[in-house]
Amino acid sequence: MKYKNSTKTWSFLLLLLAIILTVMPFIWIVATSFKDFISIMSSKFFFSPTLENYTNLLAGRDSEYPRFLLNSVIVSLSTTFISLVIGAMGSYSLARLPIPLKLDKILLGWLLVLRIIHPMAFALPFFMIMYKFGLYNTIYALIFVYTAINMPFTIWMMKGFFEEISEEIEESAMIDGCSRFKVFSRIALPLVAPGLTATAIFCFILAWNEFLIALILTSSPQSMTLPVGIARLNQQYFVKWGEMSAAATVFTIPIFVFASLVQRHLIRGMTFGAIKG
Amino acid sequence: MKTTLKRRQYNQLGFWMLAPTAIILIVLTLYPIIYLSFMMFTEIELTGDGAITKFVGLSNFVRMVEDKTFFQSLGTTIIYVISSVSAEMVFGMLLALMVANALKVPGVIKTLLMIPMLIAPVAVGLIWRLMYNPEFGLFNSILRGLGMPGLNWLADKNLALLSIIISDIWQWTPFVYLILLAGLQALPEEPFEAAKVDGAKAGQTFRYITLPLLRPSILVALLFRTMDAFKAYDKFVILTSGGPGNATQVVSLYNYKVSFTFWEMGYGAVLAFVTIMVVNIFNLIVFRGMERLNS
Repeated sequence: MKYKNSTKTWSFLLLLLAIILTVMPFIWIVATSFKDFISIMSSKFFFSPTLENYTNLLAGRDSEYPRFLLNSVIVSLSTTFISLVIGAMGSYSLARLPIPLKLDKILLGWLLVLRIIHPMAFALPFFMIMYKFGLYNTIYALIFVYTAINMPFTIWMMKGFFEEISEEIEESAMIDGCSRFKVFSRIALPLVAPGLTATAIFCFILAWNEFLIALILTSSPQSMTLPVGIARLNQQYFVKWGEMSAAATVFTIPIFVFASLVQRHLIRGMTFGAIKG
Repeated sequence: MKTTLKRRQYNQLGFWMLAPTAIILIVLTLYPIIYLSFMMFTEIELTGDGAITKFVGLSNFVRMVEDKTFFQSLGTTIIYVISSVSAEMVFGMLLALMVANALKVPGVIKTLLMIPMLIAPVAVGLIWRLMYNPEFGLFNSILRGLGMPGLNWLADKNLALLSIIISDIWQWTPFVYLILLAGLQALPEEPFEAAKVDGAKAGQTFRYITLPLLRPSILVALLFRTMDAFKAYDKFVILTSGGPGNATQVVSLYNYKVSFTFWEMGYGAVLAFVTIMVVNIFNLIVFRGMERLNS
């Protein structure tokens, strides 16, 4: 469809406005993280940047932040690794096996159910379970629960990717004498590597950002993750705004890094394949 | 013979590959739900080594029916969901329409626009809390720069919910936009060309051609946003903790308070269950409403 130049200009301006509105809060927060206390309180526009917020946060003697960061990294990486290893196998068999009992429809249905159910409905029983098993306030509890919650999504995404590779390559390998498992590990896996990466990143982001369940299952800095830690900093009597901005900035850096890698698959992932953006 | 052997080997392998997944899914997702159903009929008291569970029949349900605070929180949540989601749909649609075919949006821009959706809601809450700060926050600085007095964004009970809604719009409009954009770009050209030939005006084209054709995308965006909006918790905790008073206490906040501040977990389980039912009914109404609008 041909568009008039004036429409194009308006479109461009509107898009520009959207981009500015999207990016402005980030710029402001990062700027604030480099300001010292007085500059923040007086809302100075031109200021001399300082690294003191970051050093206090990451290297300060009393700072709990490094522990939060470590916990988040461990929990997110472990969850991703376990979900992917177990999920890849499961989704491969779902993609290639004749599926009994309409398991794939059940899987999608279960995914939607999980999406509707409020995390509180999981938090309550998991709290009781972890408490009874002595796993309360450990990162293991978090890894368990996150893996469980992420699993259906991981399987669904990877099943989609496995279904996209042609069966002929696998069949010709099997005729040549390859065992099914070898076909899986030597042929199928490398072919879906980009999809696997995207799924892994999604998994990581989900675990990295999760707040409510981490809040409920942890009670001390030894096992708290970044979201909980940040909320904790937020509740102090005297809020150190500069450090809070630095905390938020450090927390969101991985997202910025990963966003471009995930961009192509994002909408597809978030709507369970309903929309192929 | 060879095929049968391969098939058996194949099926056995498939079973073993699927087993860990199945176990985890059943044990770690189905079991908690069953446990929750059980919790609804109990009162639980936590002791040092474990928990004392007392069976109390339906008394939690009776309490729920009389709980004014719960219904207030439901009301607040529904207002929040309707306001944010409608605004996001409208803005997302506007943006998608204006940009869709007139410009080619490069991946870099799409990535930038996606970031609000990808960062943790906790981070969104934190960023907006700082921006809403009455003394040095971005918004009041701008207002004062224009000669107007600053507003008490988060502590004014008439303004608090609106402030949170605004942050939600910032966070999720890109989601709606990207879905509708994908939908628009996939539409066929012929109906539009035919309409132009027939002399249809822009408004008519939109109402009778674009909108019906876009219905699947609109539905997906609407349903997913609604499902997610009901679960809102993180932002609310950071921005207002439910205050001032109960002005922004959504269901999840109240549920958390009941379960983990007052430690009445049996009752909390009932609240969680009822909330799920309400969300389902709400979604059904929205779904039927969309279908009715179309015919």
